[in-house]
Amino acid sequence: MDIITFVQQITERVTALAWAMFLLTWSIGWTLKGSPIPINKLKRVGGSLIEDSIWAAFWLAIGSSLFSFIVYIVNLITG
Amino acid sequence: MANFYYLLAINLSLLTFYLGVLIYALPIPDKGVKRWSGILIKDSILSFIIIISIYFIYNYINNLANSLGGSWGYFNLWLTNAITLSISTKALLILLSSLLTKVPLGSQMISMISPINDALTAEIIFLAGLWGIYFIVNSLGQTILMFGLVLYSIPFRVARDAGAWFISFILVFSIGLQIMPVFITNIAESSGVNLNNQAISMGLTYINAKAYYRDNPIKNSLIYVYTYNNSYNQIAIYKTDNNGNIISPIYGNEISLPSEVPSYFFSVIDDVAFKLYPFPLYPYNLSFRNNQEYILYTNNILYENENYTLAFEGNNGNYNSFTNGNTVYIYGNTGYVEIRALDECVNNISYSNFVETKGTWNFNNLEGIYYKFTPINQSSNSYLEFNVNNCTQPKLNVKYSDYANNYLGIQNILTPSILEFFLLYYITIPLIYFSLLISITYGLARLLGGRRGIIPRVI
Repeated sequence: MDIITFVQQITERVTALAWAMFLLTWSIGWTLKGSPIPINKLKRVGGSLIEDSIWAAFWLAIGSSLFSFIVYIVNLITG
Repeated sequence: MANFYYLLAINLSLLTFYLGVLIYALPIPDKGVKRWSGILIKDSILSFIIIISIYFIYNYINNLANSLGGSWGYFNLWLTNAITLSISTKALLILLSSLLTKVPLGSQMISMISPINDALTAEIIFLAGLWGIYFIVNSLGQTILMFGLVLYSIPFRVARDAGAWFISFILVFSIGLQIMPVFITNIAESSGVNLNNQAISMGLTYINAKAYYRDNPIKNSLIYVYTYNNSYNQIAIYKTDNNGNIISPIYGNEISLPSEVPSYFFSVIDDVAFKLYPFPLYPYNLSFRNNQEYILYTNNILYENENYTLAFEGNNGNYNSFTNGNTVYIYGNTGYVEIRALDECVNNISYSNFVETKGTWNFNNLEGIYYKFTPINQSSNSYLEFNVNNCTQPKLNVKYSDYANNYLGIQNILTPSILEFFLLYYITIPLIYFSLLISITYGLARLLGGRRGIIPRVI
């Protein structure tokens, strides 16, 4: 296994992990925000977790489409 | 190998991006940790942009250098000339100082030589270093550039400074070294610098050349070489052998010429000079490894042989010639035809529509007769024929001079202009230029990245 394959494998795992984290964070965020605990700070943390997870999903979508397409083209050009 | 590094860099860049996203997605409400997500995403976008654009920039660099007047060939020529010249001069100086130990007051004279010797040592060390950089940039440039991209793309800015340095070093020196001789020549020739033109033309090149007239070799002719700076300045006297090869009687088949200024060639036979074309000859695109043969020619000669028998046209004459055995036939119109030969070398001259005038000529130790034929009627064709005898070949008594030998000679080494030349042309100005390149490299490296990188801060 050469170093490029190694980096690619790590990238794939990080991507999968990031999607999983997005789901987890989004769930935790809504759980905190919707929980029947009357603590405003806790609800704000929940809100910020939802916001972060949505941004993460946005960048993941961009990365999976645009950047992966660029890498694919570069792989084709450089052989 | 370069492709491997390129792919690795782009994959590392992608990894950096996903690590940034992963940190964004972590369910940890801590701003210190989350700060890294934005940094990593921005870094990866920047390195993506650099990776994609650098491929095109690097491939365009040679065009850019050419458009600015530089080339690797020119740099190679300059560097090889500089190294050859300084090593030869140092060898001569060492020889001279060892000889001086045997003469009275020799040590005082050696003390005069030693500063020049020290300057030469510094110069040789500098030039050897420059050759090393030239080798790295020219041969390993693409690999180092791609390696720089890999370092630049490693996540968490681990080796970003180093990567930026590698990238900017290759980019700056790839263009900078090619333009170096142009820069040095321009600075050295500017009026503000008191470097005389003689010294500038000290750069040497060696070429193989042949002299021809109308597809025939010019045999046994003297070749005078001049440079031009307001007036012609003779720099060498060579000769041609019986195959038309221009040779230096001192060194052999390769003749030395100045590499930074054009040379003007004349073939001189029987006290008549003929311009040899191309006039002048530009040696700029030559190098020491160039085995190409250069053809110099004149169309004014109608017949010529190794015994100094010569027939030529003048005054815009329009003549042709051919030979049959020992007989030479010439026909044409306008201008005039002249035959020059040593005594007894031509006979049986016959002609029509010509008026003959006769006289004698002297050239060094040679003496002979000339016959000048002017057409009676310029517009109608004239004919001329003569026989060439196998007369004995006399030895021309002339003092040849070789350009390299003259200027590498011991009498020139110790003149103030040569010291000035060495200091300015091969040490001071190259060092100034070199430090300029280092500054530009540092500036570009700062622009590209590093902790206080300008572009990353703007983004």
